Amino acid sequence: MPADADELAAEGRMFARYLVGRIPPEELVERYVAASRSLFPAPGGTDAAVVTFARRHPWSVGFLDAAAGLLHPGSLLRNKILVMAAILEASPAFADDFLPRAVHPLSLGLRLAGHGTLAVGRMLLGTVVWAAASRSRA
Amino acid sequence: MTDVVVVGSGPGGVNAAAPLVAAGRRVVMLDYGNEDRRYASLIPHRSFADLRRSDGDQHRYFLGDRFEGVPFGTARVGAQLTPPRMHILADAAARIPVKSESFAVSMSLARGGLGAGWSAGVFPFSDDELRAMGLGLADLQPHYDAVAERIGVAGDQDDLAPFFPASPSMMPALDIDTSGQIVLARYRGRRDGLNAAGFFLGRPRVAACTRRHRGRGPHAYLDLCYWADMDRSIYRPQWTLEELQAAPNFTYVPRQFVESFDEDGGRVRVRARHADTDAAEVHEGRALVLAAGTLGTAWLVLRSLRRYDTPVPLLCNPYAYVPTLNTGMLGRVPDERRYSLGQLTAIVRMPGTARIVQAQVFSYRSLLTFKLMKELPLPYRESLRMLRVLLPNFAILGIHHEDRPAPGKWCVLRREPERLEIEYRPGEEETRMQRADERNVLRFFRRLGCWPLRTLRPGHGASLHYAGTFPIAPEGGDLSCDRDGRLRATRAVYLADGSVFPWIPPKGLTFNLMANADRVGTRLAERLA
Repeated sequence: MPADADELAAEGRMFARYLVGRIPPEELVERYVAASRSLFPAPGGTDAAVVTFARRHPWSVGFLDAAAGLLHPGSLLRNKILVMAAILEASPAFADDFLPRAVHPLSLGLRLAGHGTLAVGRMLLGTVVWAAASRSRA
Repeated sequence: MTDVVVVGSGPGGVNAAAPLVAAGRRVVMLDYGNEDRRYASLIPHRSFADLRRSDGDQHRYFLGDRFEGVPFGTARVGAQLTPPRMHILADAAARIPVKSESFAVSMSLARGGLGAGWSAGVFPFSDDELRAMGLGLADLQPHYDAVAERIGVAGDQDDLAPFFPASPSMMPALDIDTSGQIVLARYRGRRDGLNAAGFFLGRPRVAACTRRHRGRGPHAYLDLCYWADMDRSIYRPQWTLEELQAAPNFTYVPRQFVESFDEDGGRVRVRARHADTDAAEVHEGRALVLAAGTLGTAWLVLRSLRRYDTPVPLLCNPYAYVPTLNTGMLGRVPDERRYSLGQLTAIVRMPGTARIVQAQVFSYRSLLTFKLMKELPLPYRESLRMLRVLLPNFAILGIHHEDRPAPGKWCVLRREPERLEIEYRPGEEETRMQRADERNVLRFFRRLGCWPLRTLRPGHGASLHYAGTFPIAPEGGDLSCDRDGRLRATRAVYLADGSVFPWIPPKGLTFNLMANADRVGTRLAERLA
């Protein structure tokens, strides 16, 4: 059953919090709802189950995204997060979260190491979470 | 009666029409003519970074009203087009069906053709390269000069001069960005050794106006080249089309999908359908110039001559791109004042051969970060944070190889259902040689502090430099062209796009096909006098 507007709005806020740590203005949430309805009108199967699981358990988004990036790059969850990323990036309020930033080489190395380690950790746990999510009720 | 019917308003069509119109011939141009009527007018005249931080409507032209700028699935040819440029490919696949498992096709029915999104690199062929095509620099030089004046070219006479014939009407070169300056400075410090080893680097010649030229420019360095044609400073064939439309002996007929031609006595008859009403239309002239793009022209020629199941050769510069880490950029703040296109050009001579490889150096600045996030197998949160700090340090290399005919590269028109079938499978030796050449190129760039991260091959067809279907040949069959571009199977049909090149050096084809189109138009005008 397709998600209603409130569910999609909650989903959009959840993805934004995951990506940039903040809830976006309502205008961007509405843009996400419209995009989701237009681009993903009738999800089903494992795709729908995973997204529904994420909605019910917001803590799981990062882990599911990590697993999807490695193993299911074309999944609905991955595409929805990408849409939210695009909406955030193409807005003045979040431009600086996406615009390139020059940092000291030492800081660059530390950041890459830190984010890389987090990414690997999420991927490992994510495969377990994905397995559970894909078997859950859509 | 019309003297010449020209099909297509791309780089070949407008540059073939220009000398015909200047010589007083009556010219009718038939064109499908798709345009962007939605997005370009929304983009304010401010820099990319400024728009990102301030324009509340940016989502419309950056993402598209239908989110068509958000790519899903694997990266495909055409995915790099931004929403204001997506009209360039609209309708073509539906109008001219193509079947291929080895070649990704991009055709255009836009006003300006594929030239409406051209990356504006101006790389004239050398005398040796032209002689290997049955022409020579003496044949093309006047037309290189004429086209350079018509389109506006900015560049330097630098270390690349031996590879590109001089152009008398060059404007001062565009200013390159911080990343390009660093790489160029490193090259200059090691020049002698690098040149001796066969590596040459310089600023590219770009079809751009660095001063006011024919009502266009100068370039404002807004870093919007992929999104809008600000100040018309980057050349688009549409600008020449507008100049032509001011001439009383030129008629532009849009919304025409040309389906076939035939010859009857002293005239050529062109049959078309109106793109919107499907009404049949017929146009006649003493001669016909086809400039529908290599594949569009192939479709038209083969179906008009009823040459089904007859393979013709197909060329396309093999292309790879390599993101590299420019260590000289670490910790530096990049300039926001810049242009978006290629910052540097490298020519690499392969040892012991006459073969060259060309590489362009780009920065990833005025495209959106989410598009790169999608290509990484990482959680989006972490990939965003990593890319933000990596992107200022990226120098993206675009590496082009030459292409020559081979048994595994052809195009054929089939019927029921009618479609073009394309096979493009280079031989193992050719592929091995290209990989070795790429490794050679990357060795040089490592010496300049650009460390390759990964080599990406977007697939055959990705360079959009299509050619070779009806090549100029001194003595050839009826599906070849004579030196004037006349298709030998016809009395008065001339080809003015990439179709006629029997091989293609690794340089961008567009400026060369424009010059050849100018040559075809000039000679045709003389013949019709």
